[in-house]
Amino acid sequence: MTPMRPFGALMSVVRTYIVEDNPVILNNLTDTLEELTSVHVMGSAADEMAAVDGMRNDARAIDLVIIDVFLASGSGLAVLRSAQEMNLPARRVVLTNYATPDIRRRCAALGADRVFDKSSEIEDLIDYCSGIGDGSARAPAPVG
Amino acid sequence: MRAMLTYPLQLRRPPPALIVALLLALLLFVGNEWAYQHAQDSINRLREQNTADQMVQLVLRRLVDAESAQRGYLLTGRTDYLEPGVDAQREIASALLQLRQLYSANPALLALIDTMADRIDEKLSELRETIVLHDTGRQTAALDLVLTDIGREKMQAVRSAANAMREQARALASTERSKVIRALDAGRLGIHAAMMLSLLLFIHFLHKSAALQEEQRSHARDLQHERERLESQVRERTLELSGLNDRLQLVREEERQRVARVLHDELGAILTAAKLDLVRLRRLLGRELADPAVSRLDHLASTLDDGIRLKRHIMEGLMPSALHNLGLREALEALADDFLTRTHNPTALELATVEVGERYRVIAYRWVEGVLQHVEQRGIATSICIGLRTADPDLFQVSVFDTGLDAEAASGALRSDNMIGLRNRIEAIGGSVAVSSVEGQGAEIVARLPLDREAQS
Repeated sequence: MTPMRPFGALMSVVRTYIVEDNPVILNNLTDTLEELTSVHVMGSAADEMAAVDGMRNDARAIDLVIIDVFLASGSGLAVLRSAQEMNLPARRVVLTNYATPDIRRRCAALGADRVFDKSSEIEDLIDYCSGIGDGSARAPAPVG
Repeated sequence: MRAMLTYPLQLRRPPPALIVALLLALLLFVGNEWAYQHAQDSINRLREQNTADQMVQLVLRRLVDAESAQRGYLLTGRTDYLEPGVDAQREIASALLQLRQLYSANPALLALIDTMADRIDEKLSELRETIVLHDTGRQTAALDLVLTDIGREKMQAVRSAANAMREQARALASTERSKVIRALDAGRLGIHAAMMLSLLLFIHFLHKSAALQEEQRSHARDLQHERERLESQVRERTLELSGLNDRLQLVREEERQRVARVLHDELGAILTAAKLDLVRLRRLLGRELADPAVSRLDHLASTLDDGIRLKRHIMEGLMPSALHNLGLREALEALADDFLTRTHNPTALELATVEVGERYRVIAYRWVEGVLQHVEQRGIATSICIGLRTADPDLFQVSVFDTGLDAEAASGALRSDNMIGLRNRIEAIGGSVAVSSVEGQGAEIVARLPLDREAQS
């Protein structure tokens, strides 16, 4: 367990765009990240098309994109690819229930900084987001 | 015994043709016999006619002999000339007797015979008279008597009576001959008739036989139709059942997918939310937590992890995500891994990278899964090899080789409802299933399915 950041310490806001189709996860994740890190969720999308539009429209206002692999329609990997193609300046990380080495490889090839398993690497995600906030996060992260 | 009981029952109503044939035979027999008898009678009578004729001629000759005897005696006076006459009279008498016997049934002829007999008597008495005259010394009177025409007239009378008789007898003979001819005719007609009837009977039988054959052919055709109808019913049923099986399998898979989806989406989300809450809880309470509370939270975390693992395990069991996301090869690798973990049987893999269409990956996967389940249930330690490769231009093949199986056990593996259903499905899509074994080395269960290239995801 990583030590808490001291209250009031200056941290830059990490403007975050979440691509996730399950509202329960979206809400919980938003609350958790905003409570424990300096992430501010400025937008979200539930499917590929909305995600691509959202990223394109607010390209400069996004610091971090968190992408779930399985979406209502379309695929998280395709969202990754679109972000890569539009040279989105923001970091992209993938959240998935099925983080096999092959998936990790593919996501990395599509420009993902990290891949986090939803069940076992939640803490790592929180740490990573904190890292971005206080400038200590490495970029890009090696393939896990 | 049974045959004897039925036989008379069969005769109770004999076919009419048989009756006609019997009547015909009877007719022929009776007719022939009758004709024969008649002809024989007539011929016998003809012979009698002949005898009668000869008798008459004999009578006449003897009469002439008697006359000659008289003449001789009259001329020579010697008694030895009379002897032939005596004999002659005797013979005449017996001949007349025979004649009477011959024609005893014919009153007309009897009358003629009597007439002739009378004339003969007259002639004979004339002869006797002359002899008496001679013997009593009146030779001259005797010669005078001879010189008269009485003798000749009397002889003539005999001859005409004889002729009359012979005429009548000849008429009778001719009648008898006609009778013979009629009898023969009757016989001939009878035979012709019999022949015609036989011919008709024969034609009738031919007709019946043809009708019977036609009936048999028609019956055979009916049987054939019935058989074809039944066969087509069987085919229909089989198709129905095969289609049903297909649909059931599909429904099962879809159901599994649906449940997997719910697990993933909803249960997964709930568990993730719980984990998130736990993370926040830990960070919120952080330093302020006493040890028991910390270990409680740790325990909660680990319980949640167990829940997530269980969820994953159930999902993979229902719908292997590797199958959908990565491919058949990777899914089989995972299956082998699982199998090894559970049974500790050596599990080898010979997996080529084969691009299989989405639809048929599941079937191949379930097939191998089914075989492995059976192997696991048997509980015998063996070594397994799972194979995947292409076969033919459009097929791929999954195989499970087990050193502990023999041909019979391998066939037994295919007899469960699950495997039968899968097999039907495989065969319905144009694949095949086979078992091959090498004595003492083990057996291999193989399924071949179409690659389904056009439908690949």
